[in-house]
Amino acid sequence: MTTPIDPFEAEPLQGAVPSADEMVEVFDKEATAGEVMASGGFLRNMVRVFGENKLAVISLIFLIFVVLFCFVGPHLYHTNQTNAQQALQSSTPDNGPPSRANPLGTDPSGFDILGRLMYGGQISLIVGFAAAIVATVVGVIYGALSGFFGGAFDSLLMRFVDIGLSIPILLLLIALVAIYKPNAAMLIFVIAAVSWLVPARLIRAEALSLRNREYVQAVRVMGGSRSRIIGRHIIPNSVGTIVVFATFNVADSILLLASLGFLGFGVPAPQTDWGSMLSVAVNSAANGYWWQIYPVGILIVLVVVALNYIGDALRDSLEVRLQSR
Amino acid sequence: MLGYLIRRTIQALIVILGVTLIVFLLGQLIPGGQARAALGPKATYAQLHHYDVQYGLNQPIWVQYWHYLLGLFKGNLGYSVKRNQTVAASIGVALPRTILLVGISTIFALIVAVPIGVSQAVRRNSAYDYAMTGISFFLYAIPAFLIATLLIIWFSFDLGWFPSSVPTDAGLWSIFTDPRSFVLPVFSLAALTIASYSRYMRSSVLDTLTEDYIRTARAKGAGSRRVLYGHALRNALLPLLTLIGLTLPAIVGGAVIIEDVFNYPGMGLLTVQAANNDDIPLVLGTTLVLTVATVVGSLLADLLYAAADPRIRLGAE
Amino acid sequence: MKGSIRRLVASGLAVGALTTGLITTLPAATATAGAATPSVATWAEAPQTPPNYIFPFMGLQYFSVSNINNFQFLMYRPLYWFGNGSTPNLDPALSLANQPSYSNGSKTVTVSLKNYKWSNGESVTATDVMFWMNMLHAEKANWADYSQGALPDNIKSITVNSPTKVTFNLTAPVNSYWFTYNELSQITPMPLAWDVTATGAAAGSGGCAKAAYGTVDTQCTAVYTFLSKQAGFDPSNPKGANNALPTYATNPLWQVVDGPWKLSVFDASGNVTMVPNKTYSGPTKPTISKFVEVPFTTDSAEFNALVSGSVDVGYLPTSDVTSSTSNPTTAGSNNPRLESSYSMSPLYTWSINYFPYNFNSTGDGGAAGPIFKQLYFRQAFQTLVDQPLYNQKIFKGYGIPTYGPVPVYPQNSFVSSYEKKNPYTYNVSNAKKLLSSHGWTVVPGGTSYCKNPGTGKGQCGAGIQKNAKLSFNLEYATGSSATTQLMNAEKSSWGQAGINVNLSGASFNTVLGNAVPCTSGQSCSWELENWGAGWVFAPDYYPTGEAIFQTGAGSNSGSYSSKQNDTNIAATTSKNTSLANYENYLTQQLPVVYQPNAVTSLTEIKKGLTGVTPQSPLWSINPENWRF
Repeated sequence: MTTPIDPFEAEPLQGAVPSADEMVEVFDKEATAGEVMASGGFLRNMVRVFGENKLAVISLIFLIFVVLFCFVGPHLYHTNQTNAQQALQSSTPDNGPPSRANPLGTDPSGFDILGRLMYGGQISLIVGFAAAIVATVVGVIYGALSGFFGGAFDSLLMRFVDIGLSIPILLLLIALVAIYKPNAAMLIFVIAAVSWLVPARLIRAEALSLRNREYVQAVRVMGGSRSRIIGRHIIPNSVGTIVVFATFNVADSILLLASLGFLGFGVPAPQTDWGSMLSVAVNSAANGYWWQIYPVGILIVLVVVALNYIGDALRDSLEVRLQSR
Repeated sequence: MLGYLIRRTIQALIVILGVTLIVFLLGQLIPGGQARAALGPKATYAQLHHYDVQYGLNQPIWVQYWHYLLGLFKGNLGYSVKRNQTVAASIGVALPRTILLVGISTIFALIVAVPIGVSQAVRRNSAYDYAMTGISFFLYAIPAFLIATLLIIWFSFDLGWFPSSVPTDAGLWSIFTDPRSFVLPVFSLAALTIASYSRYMRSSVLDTLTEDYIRTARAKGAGSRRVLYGHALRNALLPLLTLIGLTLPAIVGGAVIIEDVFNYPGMGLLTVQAANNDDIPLVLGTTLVLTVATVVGSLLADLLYAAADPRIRLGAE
Repeated sequence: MKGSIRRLVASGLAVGALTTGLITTLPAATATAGAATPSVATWAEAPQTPPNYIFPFMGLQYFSVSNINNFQFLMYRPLYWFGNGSTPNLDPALSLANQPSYSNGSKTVTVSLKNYKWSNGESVTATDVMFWMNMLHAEKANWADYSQGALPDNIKSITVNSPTKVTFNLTAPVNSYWFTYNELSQITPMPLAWDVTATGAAAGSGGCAKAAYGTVDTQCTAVYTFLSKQAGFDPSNPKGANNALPTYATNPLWQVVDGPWKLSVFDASGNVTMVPNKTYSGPTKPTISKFVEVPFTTDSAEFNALVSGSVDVGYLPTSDVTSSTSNPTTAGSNNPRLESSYSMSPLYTWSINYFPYNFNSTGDGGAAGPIFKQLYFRQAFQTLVDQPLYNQKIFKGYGIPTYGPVPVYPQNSFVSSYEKKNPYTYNVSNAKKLLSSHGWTVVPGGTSYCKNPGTGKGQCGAGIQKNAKLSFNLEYATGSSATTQLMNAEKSSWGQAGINVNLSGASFNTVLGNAVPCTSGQSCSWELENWGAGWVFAPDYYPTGEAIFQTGAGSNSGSYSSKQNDTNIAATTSKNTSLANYENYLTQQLPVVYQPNAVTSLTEIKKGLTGVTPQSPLWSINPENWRF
């Protein structure tokens, strides 16, 4: 289940709205300032540390395989995934166990499950990635603006974020989805709508600290415009945090979509996603249709774990302090 | 400290007010209207209109919101037509159950997660650390309903150790008198937070261990155990409070799913049912109460943290 | 250091293990009461529908099966009982009066009451009937089943001839079936003990019962308000706090019953216990000592209760149906986990399933309405709905097709042979031919378009432009996986003739809210809305359709309008003609899209308990017939 503040972050000061001085103190310890960025050694460093993390590399390869499986797979393995009338009329049994014709069995509508994993995976991955991108972009801009301008404007903007973060995500999602019709495109925005709050907070903290750095003040003195400061200094210096957050957010979005699908608020049929596949299967758990549960369940878990390992490795490679092990 | 307390409380109040507005507006946005929802497909126009008049639904929105707020101050959370009882009555029965479930799960998760996280930090990058991290990742990646389902399949259907749902006439304290049916729900809910708490403890202890004052203590010759228990642990535990406060919304969200799967008659199940029934007053009531509970919980966590952390207590504002 | 860490970890894990160990050694909780003593019968309520209103004169918001058929009817008998065996017919044995007699050109109805007694010693008399009618006269706006022109508007006068005889004089002649089944069916006689405006007042002091018809509106309003408040509804302030539910079992008012049961325990979550009424005057007295209704939050909770045997009469959730049946009316194999202790009996409701076309729709670029108005299109559309296949595959055989406005099952004498034969059997080539012979270019798998517009023979029809597309939006109520499957199957089927239907899901109430009749000219963009439940004929047991298909009727969502149909309907309600003409016309004319009607419930009955079947298609339960 997703959490508003990712516990996999190292900063223990999340929570009480920290004062700007506190945040500067924390990030000063990090020493990932713009000076290092300028040299480019930063990026090379990141890749090197990432490459040393074998689990992360394996995860990356696994993810690439999954993407190929979902998007290229259907071209190699043809099944009927959309024509419900045909599925009903065909002789393939509903809820059929794995067989020569259906390597992973069939679901209650008669659709082949292996093909459905590919088809559902497309939706899960697309919605997951798209929602994370939208959430990150919106959150970054919101947080950067809020943190940079500071003062009452910042307080007001962060108040909205606090309100949003206080409502349990699932409740908000249920309410939103119950009102709006849940097609795949809407779901991207609905999930992004509850996910942008966290990066907004993170980037705002970064912006708060960075805006007091000497080089930023220097730019201001030199007459640099605000947008230049935000665009050329604050955001690029937060890239590390942004990328780490985005990676975790893809995993969270996939999980959120799965939960929605389980509750019956996912993509409308005949489209499906991994979560919706599980909602159908859970009901027949008692009837022993294990092929409807384990393959898709394991796939979700592996993809999310892979994303988490990658995100963890990215975060580690940002931690200058921990690089000096 | 007092200034912080006051400011933080005012923040919380504003948040609560904002939540009532959001929740109220959401209730108004459902097409078809509350009259149609209550009366069903056979209602005539006359009956729909009569209902609107009787229930004050034909008044302007701000008037309805004002009456709603006034009612809140008097403790009236609204009236649920579908159940023919006050929202407060329905919530009064369900809320203690959810608090109990969340409370026990959290305590259980802490008991298991803290030692694991600490041990992981101390033995960083060992095989043990990697193994526990791997397990944590898996637990964190499994959706709540999948954990619950798998537990039901393994422990309830296959092994028959625990029932797969809570008895329908379970009282509030049945969790202590008849714990067998509550084991799986508590485990499922705790499984999610164990992963994140242990990971957090690990990070937190790691960070604390590399702090300057720790190095100072070591340099002064303090033994490792003294360092660990005396300094690192205490300081690493503090942010955990904040984490608990922060993850409360997520835990409550997880409780919604767990309660749904196990038919545990708490706030989560009540909300899902109310949403499915389009029981608007009840949805407003439960979302408001749950959000207030999480805001209060988070506020308490922040205040505890502030009280414990000298930097904030001594007014480094 | 290592040692202490290990101890730390060990203690953490040990606590976890210890707790688990402790719990597994604890004894399991005893099963819920009800399965213990054999003379207590436990019945599972459908999830989320606990009874929540006890006063029979109620508004539409409380008008539900769980309140009426599963709760109030057990205590307060309606004047006439419907549901005889497995047919929806009038059951004279369980009615409080003999069959009504019609005279004076069907303008006078005489009702002779039997000798039923109330539990407080009163007899059920004609005055009790007048009590209800007076209250109806005063408070028809608050009565669930009121619609303009129907009861009590069609009553000229009512006379109490004697304690056992009451005569209704009507404003116009009526069809006797219609008046008995749809109008008299609404009456529940009330005891004089309820004719009060304060607790403890003398019976009859309210002044509503013993008075000439229609002359005591003020008094009846006061009595209505008092009784409603006792039940938890304050008509003047419905949102005010009034937690009456916990008082149901103790309030002496509600203890005055004429049915076989009286209330002994009631709580707000839906736990209901009833005990036999010793003074019940009906033909079958209860033999079990207690009847218990148990609430469940979800289907799976109920299923678990069945598996553990703590419920005597329950239902099998659709997701737990493991095998199909070849004949919808007989049960196939039971779920293996229930096989040994329960027998299964399918229950179908007296209802039809359909969803409306919006004949005034401005959708599809303005073409939707005009296209729907063309009979040949509706015929093609209906011909592609393969009801037998869906019943067999999606509902596992537990489904009945709907061919017209009268249900083909449960068995009844109202359905015509024309309807039963189904003039529109599944036939893809017929559907394509219907379209192509009327100027459409059929694009299977794509979107067909109008090649030959105009109003002449072989042309698309009035209001349809050249190149108009057969592309429509269908919004359906999600929440049931079977409905979702059904919608998808039909979508694929319609696509075979190039009819492109875009599905979107929404909540039940959203769909209902959108499916409103709109007049032409007013912006009315919905095209097809499916709430999945069609129309249940209760308490309008005689399926005359004036509420659904008559021009301008409140529930005529699609604004279907046909003079022939209006004439047919008028004949069925005011003249003694049969339903045949009305029914055949609408079977042929397809005013709505008829849909397969799934089984309402697969009732699970514990082996050894008799008297539960045959089940009433109107959902009433009669625990007084149950015997262990």
